[in-house]
Amino acid sequence: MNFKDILTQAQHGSEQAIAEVMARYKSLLLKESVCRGLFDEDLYQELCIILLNCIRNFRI
Amino acid sequence: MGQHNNDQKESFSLQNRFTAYLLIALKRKKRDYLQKKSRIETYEFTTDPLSVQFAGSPDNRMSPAVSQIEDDALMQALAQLTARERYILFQRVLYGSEYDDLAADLNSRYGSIATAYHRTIKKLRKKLQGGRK
Repeated sequence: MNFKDILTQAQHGSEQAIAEVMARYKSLLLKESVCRGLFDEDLYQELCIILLNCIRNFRI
Repeated sequence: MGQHNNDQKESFSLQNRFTAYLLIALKRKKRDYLQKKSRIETYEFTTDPLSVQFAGSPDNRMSPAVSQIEDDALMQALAQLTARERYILFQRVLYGSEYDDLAADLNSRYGSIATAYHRTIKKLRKKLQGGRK
């Protein structure tokens, strides 16, 4: 399945598709959650929320 | 085949666009989050500054000397300094390090270390006088 289909499904609320996008971007989120050399769990959570918002708001 | 290729290309470009979009949002959020966090750290301090502030500091040699301090006001003033300021202050005051050594240690220049040291002293004085009123 290509990314466009996944994203479309995720925008229509398919939890499986959202999970797939989350899985694909997890490493990026983890990388961005490191602050002063330490993994910041609160920051990771905030960034996950941002990802969910982005999935919803992105115009294909 | 050509159709398939085009589809794939489009999907990749879409994914790139999405990633770029996401990255900008992430960067903004991260910046806001870090600003908020540093603001909280500036204005609030933990009830036990020793355990939190000095546990993660790069130089643990200062701990024994610091634990001798009994003046609460001084303790709080120290806890409000940044890690770098504290490091410079302690190295200079307790171990008598030269600015040159500190500059090499912190990847900085003589002048900026000297300035940082004097500003730290000034800051401490101001804070302590403020508390004594």
